[in-house]
Amino acid sequence: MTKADFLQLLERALSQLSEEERRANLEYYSELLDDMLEEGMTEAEATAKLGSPAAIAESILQEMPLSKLVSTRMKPKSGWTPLAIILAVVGSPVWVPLLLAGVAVVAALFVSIWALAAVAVVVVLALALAVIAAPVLAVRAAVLTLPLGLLLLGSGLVLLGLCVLGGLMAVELCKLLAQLTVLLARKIKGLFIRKEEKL
Amino acid sequence: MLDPQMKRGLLEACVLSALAREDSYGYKIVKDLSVCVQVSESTLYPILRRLENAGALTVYSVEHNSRLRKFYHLTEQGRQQLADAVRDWKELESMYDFIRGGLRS
Repeated sequence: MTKADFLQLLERALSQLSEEERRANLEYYSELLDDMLEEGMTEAEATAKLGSPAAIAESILQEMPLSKLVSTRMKPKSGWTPLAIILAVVGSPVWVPLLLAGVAVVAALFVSIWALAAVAVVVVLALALAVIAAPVLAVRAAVLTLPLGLLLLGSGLVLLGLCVLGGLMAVELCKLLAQLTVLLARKIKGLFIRKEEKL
Repeated sequence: MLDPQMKRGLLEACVLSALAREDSYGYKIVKDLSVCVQVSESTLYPILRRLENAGALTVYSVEHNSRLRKFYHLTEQGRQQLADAVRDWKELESMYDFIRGGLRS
């Protein structure tokens, strides 16, 4: 490996460090290589003696205190320059409605998910009401004609079955929808957070 | 196998001692230390940085063959740290003597 290749690989492997930190490390290794070349080593020998840039980068990152690593990683690549602020202000007629529309779409998505759950609950409640009403009606009808009373009692039992089944299904549906909401929320959050880079 | 924490402290003391003799630069420090311990170039740098951040040494650049070479200079604080390390060693030595004594009996 040539000296230039070595330094380039090292620089790339240290991309998540701050500019200052990266330059300090590169200067150190560049100076070492120069010293070895001066001593008569070839570039290949010198780079081989130092070891692989990837392994060196790994040990540099390991040595780095976690707090420093996190702060350099969280720091935005470029701060708010005056130009960026002006552009943001001038462009606000464009991006503000777009942002609002985006928020509205997400809100609508959440509302429609939970509307489904609400519908399921209402249906189950209606069934339960029918289950209570059926025997009352059946008793009153039985006073008039027995077959009608039996029919109403039978349908009441069928409704009870449907109610229990529907209730179970509604609970499952709500669980599923809750999972969906969490998943959706995580996806949306993911849009704003840079994926953790592989070291 | 030496305890990593202990080795780190000892290596720091070795670097301090090398710089106590004269100001030196990365590659020379590695070579000077090689008489007592094989320390790799990539191990040395974090130690130098740590010592610099702790105020034990300062850095200055000297032009050499139309490029810059970074020299490390031991500060008064660094000298004090080296003296402390030697004092600590005396304590360690008496502990070692006691440990060895158990092996003999």
